[in-house]
Amino acid sequence: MADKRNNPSMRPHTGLLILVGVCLFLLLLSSFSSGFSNALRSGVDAVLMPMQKGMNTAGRYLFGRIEEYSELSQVREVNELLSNELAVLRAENARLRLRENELDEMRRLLDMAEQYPQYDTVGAHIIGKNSSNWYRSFLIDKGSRDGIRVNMNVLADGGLVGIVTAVSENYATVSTIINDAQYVSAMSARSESSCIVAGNLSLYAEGMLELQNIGMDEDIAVGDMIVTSNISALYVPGLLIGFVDSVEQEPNHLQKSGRIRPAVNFDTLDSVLIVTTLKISENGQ
Amino acid sequence: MKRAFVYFLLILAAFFLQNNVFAASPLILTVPNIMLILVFSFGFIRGSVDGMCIGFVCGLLLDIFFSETLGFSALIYTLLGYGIGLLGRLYFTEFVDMPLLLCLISDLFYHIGIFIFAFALNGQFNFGAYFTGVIIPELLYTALMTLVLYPLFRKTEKLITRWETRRTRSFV
Repeated sequence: MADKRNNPSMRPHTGLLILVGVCLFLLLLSSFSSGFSNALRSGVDAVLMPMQKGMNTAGRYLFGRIEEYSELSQVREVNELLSNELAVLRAENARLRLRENELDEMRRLLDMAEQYPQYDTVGAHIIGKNSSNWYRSFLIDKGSRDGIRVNMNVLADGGLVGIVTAVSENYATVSTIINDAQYVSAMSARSESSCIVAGNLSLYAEGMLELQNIGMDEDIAVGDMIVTSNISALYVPGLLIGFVDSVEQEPNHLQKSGRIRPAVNFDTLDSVLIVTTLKISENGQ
Repeated sequence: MKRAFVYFLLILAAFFLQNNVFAASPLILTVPNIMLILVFSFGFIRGSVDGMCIGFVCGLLLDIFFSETLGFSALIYTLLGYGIGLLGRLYFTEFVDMPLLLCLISDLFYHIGIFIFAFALNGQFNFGAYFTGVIIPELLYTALMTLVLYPLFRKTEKLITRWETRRTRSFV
């Protein structure tokens, strides 16, 4: 073998043992305390973040050009559809505003606090997506410097996208609710019956999420609007998740389960809103 | 030292390309795993040490930006780089070139590793659905990219080697 495959200064299997040891050490360390991984994150963040932003802008420009040509033909058609929809929505909005005034009046009379307050939000751009096709998580260009904290809820298109899982100075990582093993405590906006929305990537391939743990007596029907529930530990109440697509009895006749079509299109996200109200800190106090 | 620097640039380029540039396109839903190509290419051409070092850095970068716990991707990529390096020792890389087979082996190893440790242990056993929904599409895209990138990495490797030998010769 002419090439120097065996570097004499380091025997391969010793090196392997060292690296595997480092990996296991990191796994243990980061699952027990977040201090070390946060320090490492902010170190790497300072160097790589501006570059990631730049590369993302370049990609956006490149793909934007390609898309512009392919989409121009559809735009006119969509425009007409949208302006029709706008007219309908304007009328509805006027009607709803009247009703809201009425509601406010009634609430004031009943001395009741608003159940679904307007949450404060911060906008952010998505600048990187996890390329591992097993997980749908992404990076946003706002971090602890802009007031983002772990466990803040993330919205887009008026619906729930996910939750912030890691924060560094200039960026944050968001895990989406379509990921496997992501569970959101939810309820029907109509009947306030509770259920669990579970992420499942193989089901999302059909554009759906799983609906679990519906008690036999609970009233959840096809077409119901599903929102985050009051009892959720991580999510603030009243955020739209999606609409029920089907409900059926489990074989054990103890529960019902079903499918829900999310309000957000997770494939075409490019900017999101972060709800700066934290559910946990409220409960912790 | 120079070699490590070039490796680092290649790793960064692969990271940006797959996580930032491709992320900007709403049309590309399945992203080819360019870092994987980098790991198995250099692992095969240069051997275990280079393979596992590149693998470790690639995995760690992915962990730092996208995962809550550090070290999982790093572990998978390190083992992959080392294993492919051993495979490369069995064959004379100058004569036997099998990028597509390498791609198949590496991608399957990577995905099965993720499935077992992150999904099966979480109670998700539906391997068939993941196989057709996640693994096969990524495998196809990665194989396509391998056809483009593997020859490129081979050339890069030759350039670095030539550069290194010239340096040492002029030094002596």
